[in-house]
Amino acid sequence: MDDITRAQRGDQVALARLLQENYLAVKKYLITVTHDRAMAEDLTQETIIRAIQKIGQFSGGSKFSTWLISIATNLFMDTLRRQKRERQYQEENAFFDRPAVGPEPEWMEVMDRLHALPRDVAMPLVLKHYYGYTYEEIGSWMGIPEGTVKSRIFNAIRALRKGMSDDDVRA
Amino acid sequence: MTSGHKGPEQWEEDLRQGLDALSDLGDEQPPNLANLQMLVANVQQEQRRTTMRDLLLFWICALALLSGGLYAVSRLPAYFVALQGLVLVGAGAAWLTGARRRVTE
Repeated sequence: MDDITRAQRGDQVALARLLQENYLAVKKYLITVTHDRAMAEDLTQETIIRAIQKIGQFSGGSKFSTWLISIATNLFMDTLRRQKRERQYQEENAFFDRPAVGPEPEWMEVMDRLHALPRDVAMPLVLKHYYGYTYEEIGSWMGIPEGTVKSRIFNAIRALRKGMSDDDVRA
Repeated sequence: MTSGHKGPEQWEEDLRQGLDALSDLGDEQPPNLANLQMLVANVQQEQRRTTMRDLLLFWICALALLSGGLYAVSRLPAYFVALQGLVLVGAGAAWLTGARRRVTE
């Protein structure tokens, strides 16, 4: 019997072990979509608690880590909706940590552009092009149609590419 | 810094490197197993408590409604029949409104 089955049957050690194995992956994922370590830390805690509450609902249709990512995405979407209502997210969101010294690395320009995008536009791009999830998975986690996922990713790529020369974009 | 000489898919490589750097956790370790086990126990205990409270609330409401109904049947049958009729009409109206909304959507 694997840890997931044991956890679903009430084995607290098995569930704790599963959560421990996936903890850092969830936190890393949340940092990549929030660009905010403090928020990522809070959301990781919430994701873990939500997973404990809903372990009985995990169908096994995907990997356990994918299930945790879907919970984390839902929680982040809820946070974004709350912040959108307050109209403060863009103003209050601190810029992500830059390297303290030395020349800016090559990727900084793309990251600047990624950070400037609304989070609900940047998130599908990260989920697709960094984590490799499908349009269908991303759409279901974010509660938007597949077509909207595709158009948001298209727009995000276009925004990231604006920093490149016209020749590069046309190529 | 300029990106004028980048290839067409360079953005994807930059994105990967940027996100790798952004989410680098260094030598951070996950919470230890004992703490997580305690968290699991606490959350599940709280969940059981909430379920019990909701069930209790449900049974109290059900009993109150049932006893009210039985009292009305035995002492005030006319009021009981009128109330039943009102509930039936209300439920029908709600269903029709919902059905109409589903059709227009």
